[in-house]
Amino acid sequence: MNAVTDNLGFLAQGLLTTVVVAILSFTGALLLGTALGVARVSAVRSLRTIAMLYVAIVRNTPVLLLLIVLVFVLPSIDIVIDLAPALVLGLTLYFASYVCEIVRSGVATVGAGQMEAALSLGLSQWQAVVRVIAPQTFRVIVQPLGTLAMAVTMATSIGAVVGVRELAGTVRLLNGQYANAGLLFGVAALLYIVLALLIARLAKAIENRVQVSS
Amino acid sequence: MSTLNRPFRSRRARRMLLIDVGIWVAFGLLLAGVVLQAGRAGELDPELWIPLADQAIQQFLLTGLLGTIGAGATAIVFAVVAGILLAAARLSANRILSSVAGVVSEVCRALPILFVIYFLLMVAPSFGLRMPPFWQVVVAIAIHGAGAFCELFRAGMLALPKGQSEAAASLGLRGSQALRTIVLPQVVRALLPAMISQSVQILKETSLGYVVSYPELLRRGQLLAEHLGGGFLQAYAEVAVLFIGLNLALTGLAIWLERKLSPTTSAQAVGSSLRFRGRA
Repeated sequence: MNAVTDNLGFLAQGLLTTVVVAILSFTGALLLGTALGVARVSAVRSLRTIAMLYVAIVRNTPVLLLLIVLVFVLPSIDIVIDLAPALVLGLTLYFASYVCEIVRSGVATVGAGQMEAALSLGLSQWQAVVRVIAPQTFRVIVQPLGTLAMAVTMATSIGAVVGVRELAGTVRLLNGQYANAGLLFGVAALLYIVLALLIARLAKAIENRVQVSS
Repeated sequence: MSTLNRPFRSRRARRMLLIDVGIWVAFGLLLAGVVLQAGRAGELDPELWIPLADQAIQQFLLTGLLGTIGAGATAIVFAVVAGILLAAARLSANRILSSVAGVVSEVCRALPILFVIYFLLMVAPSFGLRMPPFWQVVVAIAIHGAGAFCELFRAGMLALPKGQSEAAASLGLRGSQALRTIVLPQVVRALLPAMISQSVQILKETSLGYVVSYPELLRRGQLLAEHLGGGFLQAYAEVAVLFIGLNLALTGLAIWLERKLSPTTSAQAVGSSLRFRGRA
């Protein structure tokens, strides 16, 4: 029992780090990924190509490799980033490629007729995108984004590899000090499961809210 | 009409061209900045890159690639089989079985793979459960993958019209027979592209073998960097090329299959929408 009760503070701090890193990374991925997704379906060909290249490269790279590049390779070209910001940046860059694909496929599910109808009703191109296309896209992508939020939260654990003290890193560190650390791992596992459940709940709530009753 | 449109069209075309050129120039400048920075740090010295062409080093990395493929393929097989069983259990009429399978699948997906690897590495031995690094990686990834494949197959089975299993039952097939001969072939066919995406995911996850010194590609890259005396840029550049090449080939296969299989059951739509759900 000691391994857990003696270190409640450490565990809480680890949990907090995990949550903060997850929130920052997911927000960043959402912003960058949406920009990439819009670029991917835009009328400008160069933007489409660049977004496509980004996704092809980043999505096929392991996130741990991305993190290692930020932590070990960038210093060799004289760019040094702190560990925790590097973790956030790595997760942001990685998951932005997923958000991009989610947005792209979301837009694809909105029929071309919607745009034509909006334009023929006299809406400007901008109005049509913001008022007609975007809301319908959002409704479709809420669920995959919820799944992605869970993936981001779990992926924060790779910070442990480079020494960020989030939940998994904290447990790994404390493990060295106790003969029987099974309980420590059990508590951390429970915390991860609770986090996942909370995210699932939240995603479901948002999904229900934006749903249109048919 | 066409004479009215022509000047407008060409002006629009010219503006689009200008925008395109401007964006490419900005993108080029960005890349040039990165290259310049690397050059200033002395990392572009050919001396640093020539060793990569060495045959022994190539072989060293290629065996790493084989390690990645070996662990990945093993994990995929276990994850697919476990995923199918879990999905079948979730959809079974037995309430208890179905809710137990639901909880198992949720827990599988809620635990970070790295966390499970640490558990197998640090705690499991004290319960007398010792396994070599290969299995530590494979088991951890397969546990997570089983949850992911379970959701995939469940969605696929739900999307299959109910008449299929009803018809199978009315022909006198038992539940497991119907699953094997009627339901699964159709579901697997519809989900094949999504399954390949999930497999790419699993191949990327084998890079976590890095932490248990399982000789996969990323770990080999680290050793190579040390061998090169701190050549992180050079070593990881080649590792990245190999990873991206392997996964692009698989992704290409998925897209090709999707095109080839397009006129199929209603489960197809589910398959393509599932492709885009992210996993770590």
